[in-house]
Amino acid sequence: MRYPSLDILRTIAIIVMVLAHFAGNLSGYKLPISGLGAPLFTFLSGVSYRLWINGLVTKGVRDEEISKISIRRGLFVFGVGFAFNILVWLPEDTFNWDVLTFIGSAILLLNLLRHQPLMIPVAIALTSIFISPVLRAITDYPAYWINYYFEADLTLSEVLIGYFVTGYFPIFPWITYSLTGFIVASMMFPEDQSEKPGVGKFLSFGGVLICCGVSLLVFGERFADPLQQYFFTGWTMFPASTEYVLITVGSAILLFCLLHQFVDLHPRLPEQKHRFQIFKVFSRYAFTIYLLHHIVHLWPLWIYGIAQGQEATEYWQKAMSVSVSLPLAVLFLALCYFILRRLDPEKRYGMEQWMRWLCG
Amino acid sequence: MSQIENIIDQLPNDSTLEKISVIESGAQAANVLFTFPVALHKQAVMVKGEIDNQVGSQFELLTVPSRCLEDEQVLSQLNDWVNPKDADNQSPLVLSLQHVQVFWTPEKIVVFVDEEFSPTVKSAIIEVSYYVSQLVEIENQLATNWPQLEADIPTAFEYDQQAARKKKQLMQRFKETYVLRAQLAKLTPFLLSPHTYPPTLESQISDRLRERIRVEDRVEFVSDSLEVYEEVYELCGQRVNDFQHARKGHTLEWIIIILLGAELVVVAFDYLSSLGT
Repeated sequence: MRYPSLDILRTIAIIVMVLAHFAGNLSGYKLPISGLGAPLFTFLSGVSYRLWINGLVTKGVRDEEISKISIRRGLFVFGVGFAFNILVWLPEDTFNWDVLTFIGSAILLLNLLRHQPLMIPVAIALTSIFISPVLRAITDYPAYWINYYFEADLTLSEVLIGYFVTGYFPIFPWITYSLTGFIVASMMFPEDQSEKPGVGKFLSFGGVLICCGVSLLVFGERFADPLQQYFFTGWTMFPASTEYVLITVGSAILLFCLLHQFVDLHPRLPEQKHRFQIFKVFSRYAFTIYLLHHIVHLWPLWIYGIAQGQEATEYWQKAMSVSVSLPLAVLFLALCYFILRRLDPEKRYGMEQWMRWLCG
Repeated sequence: MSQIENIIDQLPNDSTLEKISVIESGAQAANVLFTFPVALHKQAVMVKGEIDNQVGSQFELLTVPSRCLEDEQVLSQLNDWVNPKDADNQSPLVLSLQHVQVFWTPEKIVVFVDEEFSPTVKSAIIEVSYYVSQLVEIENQLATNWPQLEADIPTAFEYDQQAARKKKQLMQRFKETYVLRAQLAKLTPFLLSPHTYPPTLESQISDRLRERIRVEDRVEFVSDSLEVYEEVYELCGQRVNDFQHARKGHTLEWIIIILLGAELVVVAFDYLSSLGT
């Protein structure tokens, strides 16, 4: 079953990411909405995984087959993440641990956890939040981010540290998002619909998380120095501070539940498919758009740098003003929409189709 | 005009057709025909309108003077009414005793009886018919649930994550089984009541009717079937409890493993960072 709420959220996530990346990579400008797309995207990876599993179970697909497809898909996304790093961010950034390698890993972990009682993913999500600052302190996180982007040596220890703690999207604490999405979807879409809890509980929980995050933001300065330095670092995405994680997880839960309540469960709205056309298009091709928008705005930058006889990354973050890069982002989104909506709605194209063809 | 109205037109005026329903004895009713023993808390009342065969404990009782027994045409028509030719049911049970004759099916009954014995004979028939209808309901319920029972038998041996989704249904079936057992237990003393001594016409009719319906055997069969249901669902219940206990322990073990894992991760990164340049 297709939920319009998921399409809307995935569209929001992809639009935020496209705008933030165009403005950031072309103009070095940090939009106020930067840092809101990735949490939503990773949260939705958990929700989508649960719903996808539910769909396969309903179709009567064997459990072993579900595991095999999950592993293939996880490895596919992980592999595409590496190819993306090499081809788009150039080979020296192979191990920068971008969001795709993270989502691939999250799918593999969720496959392991899907049969466990919900308490276990909850425990892992909580542990992840608490352990992340400790790990950042141990591994000296700032040492990997001297120039405000992730840099590490090509040694096994640093590659592992990057994957788990210091990369762009390390397992700790980002796994919290996928796990939370998985937990929320498991509770909101149980097989026995009579066991479905009211949406109010989730709204309250989301609200509490946001309040905790905001309180930490406000009162964080009062904590002692070591706590401030690693635990309560204020609103930062790199590293994903405790406040940032709490507020963004809470917001994702809140948004998802509100949309589910007022859109999915609306007696007539889901039937008015034309209203959700734009969201459906962006949602169906979110993976492809994510890859494409990087290629579209970064490759010309690298090519231009080389053509000028300089380093490929010479013009990164200083190619143009934000008044140009943002309209370019909007133009890219508009073109994507008009091209993708013309494609046969019964068929799949792009990376999504490849994943389906290869992994099942 | 319906078939029964046509037949009644040809019958003597003292013939009566009563549509009978068995309701709770506390309910207000004008035409109470029979009050069941206190333990059952029921009363048989005459109702107006059409009988709903889907609702249990409802039947039609046609009382005809015994002199009509000599009229072959009437007999044939009444036999057809009790058991229409297009119906799948078995032929009606025919019982003759002294000057009383009964055509009996669970839904339609014809009694040929003289007016002086009519009230007592009718009472006896209403009473037995209700008990039998209850027994039939239990039998039908068991027959309907039997395929489900067979499907649940593997769960009585092995209960896993997939079976955990059936927990509510299993609980419901366990409950239904015990409700049926309770109903049977409540009914059995009346279904298997000993012969009355000295015998009366109505007690003889009641005993004979129960004998012909093979009430004793059927109660035993139902009891045997219920035993199978009880065994299967008791085992299922036990498996569910075992699974839940194991799952709780399992969750606790996992939480401990996660905490140990977290500690290991911290130690491992402490070591890894010491290797870093």
